[in-house]
Amino acid sequence: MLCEECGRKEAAFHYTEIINGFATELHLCEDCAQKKGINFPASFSFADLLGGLLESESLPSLARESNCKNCGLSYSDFKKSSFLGCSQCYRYFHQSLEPLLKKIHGSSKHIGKSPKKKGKEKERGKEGYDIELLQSQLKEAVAKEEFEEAAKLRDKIKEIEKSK
Amino acid sequence: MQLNDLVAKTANWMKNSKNGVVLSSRIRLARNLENFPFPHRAGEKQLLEIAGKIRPFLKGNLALKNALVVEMDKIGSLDRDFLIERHLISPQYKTGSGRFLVIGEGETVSIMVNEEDHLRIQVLESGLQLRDCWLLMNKLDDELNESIGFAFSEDFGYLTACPTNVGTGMRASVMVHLPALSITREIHKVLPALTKLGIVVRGVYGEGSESKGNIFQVSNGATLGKQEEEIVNQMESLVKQLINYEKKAQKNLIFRQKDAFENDIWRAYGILHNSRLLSSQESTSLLSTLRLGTDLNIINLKRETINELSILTLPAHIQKIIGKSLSPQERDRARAKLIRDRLKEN
Ligand SMILES: [Zn+2]
Ligand SMILES: [Zn+2]
Repeated sequence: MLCEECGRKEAAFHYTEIINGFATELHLCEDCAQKKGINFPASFSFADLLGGLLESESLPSLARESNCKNCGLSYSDFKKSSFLGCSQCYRYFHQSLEPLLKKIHGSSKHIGKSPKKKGKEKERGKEGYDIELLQSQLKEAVAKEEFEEAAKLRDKIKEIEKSK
Repeated sequence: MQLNDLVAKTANWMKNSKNGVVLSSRIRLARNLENFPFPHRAGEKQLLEIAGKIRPFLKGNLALKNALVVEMDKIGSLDRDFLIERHLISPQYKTGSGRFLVIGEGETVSIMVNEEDHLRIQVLESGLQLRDCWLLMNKLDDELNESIGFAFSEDFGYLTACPTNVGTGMRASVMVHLPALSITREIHKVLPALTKLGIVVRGVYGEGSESKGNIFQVSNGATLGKQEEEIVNQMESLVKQLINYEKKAQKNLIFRQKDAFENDIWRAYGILHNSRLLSSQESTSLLSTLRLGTDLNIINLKRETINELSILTLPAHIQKIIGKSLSPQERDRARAKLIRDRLKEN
């Protein structure tokens, strides 16, 4: 099929345009398609879009003033970099983030998996050990890089869990 | 195991797949620890502390206790490029202490520590296996959470450095080879349609949406407001449609221009089989033609051979195989020889 525009080259681009509610098919060669500005849109990423969204957004005055108490990030820092400073930022900027997330994702409510919660009532092993306490001790030992101690604690936790 | 041992190994995701169109499937999760600043805002001491929380988990985990750990401050730029080509790290992954990469058996599971998020966990498999990737990932995620504890909010889900990843923190992507859609330019209709559905498409070996080897990465855009299984199912059914489009376009090509088409494929084979110098760009494009010829049974080659050659002929891989840094001309010579040798074996 020849290009409908110049009638000379092979039509490589088949395009359906909706004009006044009617679908009109266009068959164009590459050159003419380009001239008409019918271009294949470059791949876009949501991160690229984010910059634009943040620009156009009007902020509630509250969010503009306060910083994240955990990491010190301000909302204008976030607007500049598109990155939050820590997980607590989501709490401090909750109000401003909600509409933004809606724009990015089409939703602002998580419905996917959640981390398995350790039961609210403390689980106790047969020897009366408090698993939660052991686990927090384990975390601490690991943070201090006391790996021998950590290994002992982990074994103890495993033992208790097995005996349940 | 050491980093250099990977060079001669065939990663699981390069292995033979049932489907010619889908090269590989990948699930990636972004996860963060509570209270610590995200990596871009953390000092060296904090990065080390975060890293220190993850190391003990690896030792205790059955699947990862023998994993290869690559410290990012201990490798040079060639190794970095090698890991990027291997899809094990992102080009954005910085060097420096407190950042390390974990590579599991067969390169199916890998974890970047302190990239954009504290953890970027990846499961990569050959062919269309998003569901299986997710099953494996889900389990690993539970184990990690049990040991480390992830930052999570009831409203926003898993909390990430960039709000574009928040919620599930999940990116499900497939690498697809779409030569016939590219040749017939149907791709210009298909890709914008995917984009409208909130799917992100990237050319893999080219700039932006342009793709040199006709290989595209297709992934979900939104990470919040959908369940993980829902994202996986939607991606799988979309990709199946994409496979149908490509297969149809392939049939059309054969039907309309059989001779010209077969000629292209055998010429590509001839060049690959005989060249003394091959640029990365040329080999990528010829290998794409060869892959298409294989999928259509015009030429009889193992898919795995083409999968491997597509990776092994990339610049950093060639240099790792030869064992030293090479000038572009030397690379082109080594690349041509590698391809000649491999095709002779077949
Ligand atoms: Zn024209
Ligand atoms: Zn913060």
